[in-house]
Amino acid sequence: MPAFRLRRMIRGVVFAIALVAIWLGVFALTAGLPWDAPLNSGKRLTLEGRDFLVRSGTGKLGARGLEISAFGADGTALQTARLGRARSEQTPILRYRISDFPKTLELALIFRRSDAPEDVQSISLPAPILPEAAVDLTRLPQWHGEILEVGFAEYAAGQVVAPDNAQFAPFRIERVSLQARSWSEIFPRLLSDWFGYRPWALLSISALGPQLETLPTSSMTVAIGIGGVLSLLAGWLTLGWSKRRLLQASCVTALGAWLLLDLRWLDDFLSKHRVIETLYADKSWEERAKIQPDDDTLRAAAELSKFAAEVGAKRILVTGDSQYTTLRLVYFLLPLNAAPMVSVLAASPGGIVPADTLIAVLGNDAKYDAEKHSLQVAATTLSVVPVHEQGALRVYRPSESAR
Amino acid sequence: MNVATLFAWLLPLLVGAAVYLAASPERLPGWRSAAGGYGIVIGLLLVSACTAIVARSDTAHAWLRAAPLLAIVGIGAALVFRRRSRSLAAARDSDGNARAEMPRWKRTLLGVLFASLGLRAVVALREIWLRPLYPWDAWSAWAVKAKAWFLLGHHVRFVSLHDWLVQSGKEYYTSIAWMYPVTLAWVDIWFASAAGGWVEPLVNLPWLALWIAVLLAHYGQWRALGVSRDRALFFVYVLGSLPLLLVHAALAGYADLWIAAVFGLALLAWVRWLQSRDRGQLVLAIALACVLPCLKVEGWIWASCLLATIVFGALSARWRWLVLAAAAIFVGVLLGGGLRWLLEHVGWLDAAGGIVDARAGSFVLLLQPQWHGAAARDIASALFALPNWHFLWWLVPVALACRWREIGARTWLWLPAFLLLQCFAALAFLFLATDAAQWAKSFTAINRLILQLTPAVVTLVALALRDAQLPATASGTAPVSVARIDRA
Repeated sequence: MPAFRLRRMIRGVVFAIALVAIWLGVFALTAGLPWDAPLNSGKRLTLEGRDFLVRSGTGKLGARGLEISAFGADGTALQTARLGRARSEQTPILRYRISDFPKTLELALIFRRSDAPEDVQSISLPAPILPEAAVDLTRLPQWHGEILEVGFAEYAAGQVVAPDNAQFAPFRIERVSLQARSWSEIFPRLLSDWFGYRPWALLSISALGPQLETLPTSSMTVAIGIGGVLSLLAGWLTLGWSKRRLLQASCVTALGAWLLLDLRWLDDFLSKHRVIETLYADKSWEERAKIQPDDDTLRAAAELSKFAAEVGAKRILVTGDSQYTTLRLVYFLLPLNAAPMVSVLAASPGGIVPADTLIAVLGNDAKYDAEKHSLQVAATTLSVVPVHEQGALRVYRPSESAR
Repeated sequence: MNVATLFAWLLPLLVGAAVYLAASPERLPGWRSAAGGYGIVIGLLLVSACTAIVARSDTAHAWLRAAPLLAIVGIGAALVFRRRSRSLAAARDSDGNARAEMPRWKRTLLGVLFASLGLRAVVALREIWLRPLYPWDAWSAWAVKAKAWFLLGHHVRFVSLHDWLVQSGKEYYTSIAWMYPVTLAWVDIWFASAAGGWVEPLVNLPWLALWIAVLLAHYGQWRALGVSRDRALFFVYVLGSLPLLLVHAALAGYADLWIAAVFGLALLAWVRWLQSRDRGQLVLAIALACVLPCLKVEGWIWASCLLATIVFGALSARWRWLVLAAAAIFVGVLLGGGLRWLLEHVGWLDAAGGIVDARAGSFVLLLQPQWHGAAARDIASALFALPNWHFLWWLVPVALACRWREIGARTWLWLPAFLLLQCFAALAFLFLATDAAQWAKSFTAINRLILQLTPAVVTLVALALRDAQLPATASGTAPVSVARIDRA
């Protein structure tokens, strides 16, 4: 074999080895895996479907796992399994194989620790992907000490699906395991981080990726970006690329990396949209308009509109348990002349609430004192008379003045 | 979709295209695409203006009332276009055989990429069509006035929360965003009135049209600016594949996409003027820049930067240095206490610095600059780690660094680069030196503000790379690019 061919072959082999090392290193770094982690996890707690107890909802043990077939009366399903006393630091990797999980539902991990056995800890998980999802619980501050019990809760996906429209479909818990960190769990973990389905959220309009109340995930963009740059550098150093070749390789790498991220985004976009199709397709606009993530607020608004029409009220001050509920109520009430009470009172210190204004409270945040006929809203106390109540909706009239 | 809705869509598109062609009748490569893209944006903006002028007392029939006025504008524009196009030389669409010259692999690749854009458009359409208004600011701010005016059947005044409480005898409304511009509200009313009810999917469709308009207009203008067909198509894919841009179409209701579209189109028109001195394009650029504050508060900042840079670009070299020095002093005085003095004198702040008028809220952030270095990590995360932009912000600095000589050598490249530098400096100041740093940490605003500038940034990269070539095979030390003779 001529020397130049041999040199080229050796360079090719070195480049291939460098590529494997670079990408393994990048994936391990992205997954937060220590270098001295074992190849395979020695310590592993495995739970089969039969190990779980159905606490809420309906389920039965089938040939391939625990089959959950219905929600409980509270609109959730819950399954738990006792662990004995598992050390959290020895078993931070949760792997779960759950089949046919409907995308209209959200999956949460729940667990109890020995230091606070009465407190149930909960964290939303990425929806299961096949063949098995895996997450690193060391990113969860509550995951420490001895774990007594773990389980899963399922409910209508928050911010997208109302409990009444959850469209439950049966799914199956096949196998769950808790294990130590090891090189063998890198790919399931990264696949779950990068391809695990997450529904539309209110934050989606501002940023895709970060989700409140879920485990932080590693960045596919950073991993592919750093891996790509290092691979190009390795090619330039080992293969002796010319400037032209390096530029060509850079362009091809950039295009390939862009397409990869784009495919991932398309998959995510389509998954997000599938839920919307499930919820709204084949319905008239009148029906679709009633399917809101917070349909209880919509119903309260309809009740309030009806009452306001009966008493001829022209203006309403509204407040809910959160800014979200308050502003949704204002929007649903339109064209009624409604305003967010806490904001209005904060903007008008000492202002008087006119007697012809209704005061509507949705939820329990504003406390009414029946003896003093006063309503406590944030830092303000209003003298009021109750005039209507329906479920969580309470309506008052100012008795004399605002404060 | 009824006939009225169809008509309510067709009329603005035709009028908008006519207005664009009246301003820029020359048939350069990509002119149809540019006319379509600008037509959509200009048409929708004209819809807003006409509806606001003639339909305040009868919002339920807004489109019927505003359509004649819009049609008059369209007819006038068509007449101007006809007159101007006659005076021009024969069509200069030198693009005829370009398709045949494109290699098959490129055609196939671009075909696949554009099929993916088509898929996105269809899914975004279904998303808008199926679901009620979803994003937070859409139902808490942007659609509140429109829904109130439409369902009431007439316009009512929105006042501050305080005024609403103390002036209970009047038909005043309020909202937490009572001071927001109303341009989008009138667009909503036009489409709601054509639909015959507050049908949110039909009211929200303009957001998808806007996404399509951005892609069409950019393709057309890039072609006119000398970008080859394949590169222009590739950059259209780059723009169309950006996740957050599509999210703003699919989850319709925010004003950021409108700012991005109008700012991007204004910049393109200005670059056309810089390159070819087409006065119609300059008029378009200035008109679109003036629309920015009518869309969203930060539109004032982008409009100021754009208009100031247009003026700056028209000055001689000596005057430019003087203006730069004056601008630096002005900004220093403003941040060093001038802004507080100004706000106190217009009555938006009291002597103790308390907010008297809610409109001061947007400026209060600037009154006490304070370094928030930790926000740099959040900014980096937003740009480089989150899946909002693919690799855009990784590649933009590399592309611009590789082409800095070309950018510096051409006025029509360095002036837009200078403009974008100002805009990003303003964002950096906002997020690193004011309490807006918390919006970077929570990711609630930073990506949306960056979104507003993104199409313009892609334009700069597309133009900078329009004639970039790989070095010659024989020499490893050849320059990265072979510059063509500048048309300007």
